[in-house]
Amino acid sequence: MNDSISSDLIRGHIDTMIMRVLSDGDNYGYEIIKAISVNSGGLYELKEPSLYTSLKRLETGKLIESYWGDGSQGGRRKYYKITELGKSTYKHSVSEWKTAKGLISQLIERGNS
Amino acid sequence: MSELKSYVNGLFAKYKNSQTDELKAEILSNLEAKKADLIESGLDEETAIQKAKNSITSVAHLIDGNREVFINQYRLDCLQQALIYLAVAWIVTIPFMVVGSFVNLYLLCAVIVVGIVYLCKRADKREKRGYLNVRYYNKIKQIVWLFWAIFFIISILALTGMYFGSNLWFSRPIKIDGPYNFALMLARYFTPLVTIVLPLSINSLPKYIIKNEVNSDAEQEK
Repeated sequence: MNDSISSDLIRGHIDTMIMRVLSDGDNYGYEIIKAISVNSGGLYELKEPSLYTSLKRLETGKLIESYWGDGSQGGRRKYYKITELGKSTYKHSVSEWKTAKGLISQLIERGNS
Repeated sequence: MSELKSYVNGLFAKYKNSQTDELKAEILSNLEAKKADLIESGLDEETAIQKAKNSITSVAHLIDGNREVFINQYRLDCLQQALIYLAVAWIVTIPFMVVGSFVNLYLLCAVIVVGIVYLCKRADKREKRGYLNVRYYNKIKQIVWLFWAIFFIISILALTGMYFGSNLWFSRPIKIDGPYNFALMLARYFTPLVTIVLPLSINSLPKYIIKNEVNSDAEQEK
């Protein structure tokens, strides 16, 4: 994604985006980035520094946990798995977002609504 | 060693401990995956490696205890704090002049030197950012306090030995020759205490790191 205004808007939801990917199944760093890119239809690309920051924060908060597994090309990979706490936090974030989305549209859009 | 491996080693060169080993392995494995993926999508190896490298150019924000701070503002706070402590110590020791102690003079020099440095730093209006580690400074703080406590206790014991050792040894009553000698003794006892400005100044470093922290998340995408 090129324009920085959009990434300002997105930044607060990176944790939830990652939890969504992990809700579909355990995954490792680079694949999480790819999955998010696919989910966005190629419009958004999560940057590595933000990924690691988010993963660390989520793991510290016990929303996800990690384990080492074997990758396809030999090397070992660190996989992440969403916890029960993570699942409920994710649901909560989604419903919060739905409320906020409606409210913000109502507050900033003019006319034809 | 693969090119990516030595690149990641370089990123972590400043941070060597077991906590970072795991992160290092994780980052490397993800970069290798990225490289493989880019090659598969049609890039040549060299470009793929370069793209992988460009995706992460620093790990400073991922190190435990590291905080990104406005360096200049942080230094100013520290200098200001040291200046205040030194000035207080200077004022408190003014009476020492009477008994011919130079402590007061030394402190005045220190106040002037720190004052000049402070003013020079204050003239520098550039906004500089850097990473400082709160844990590291907390450790430094503990060590400085420990050494200061040892120094203080030894100084007091030595002074006591000098003044009263022979009284104890020969079990003579303690005798002080008039108010001047009493004042001199007090000044000598007080002098080691003045050095408390050093640990006190260092004491607030971790606090100032937190205070001058760049608001973290917002900056990391840049």
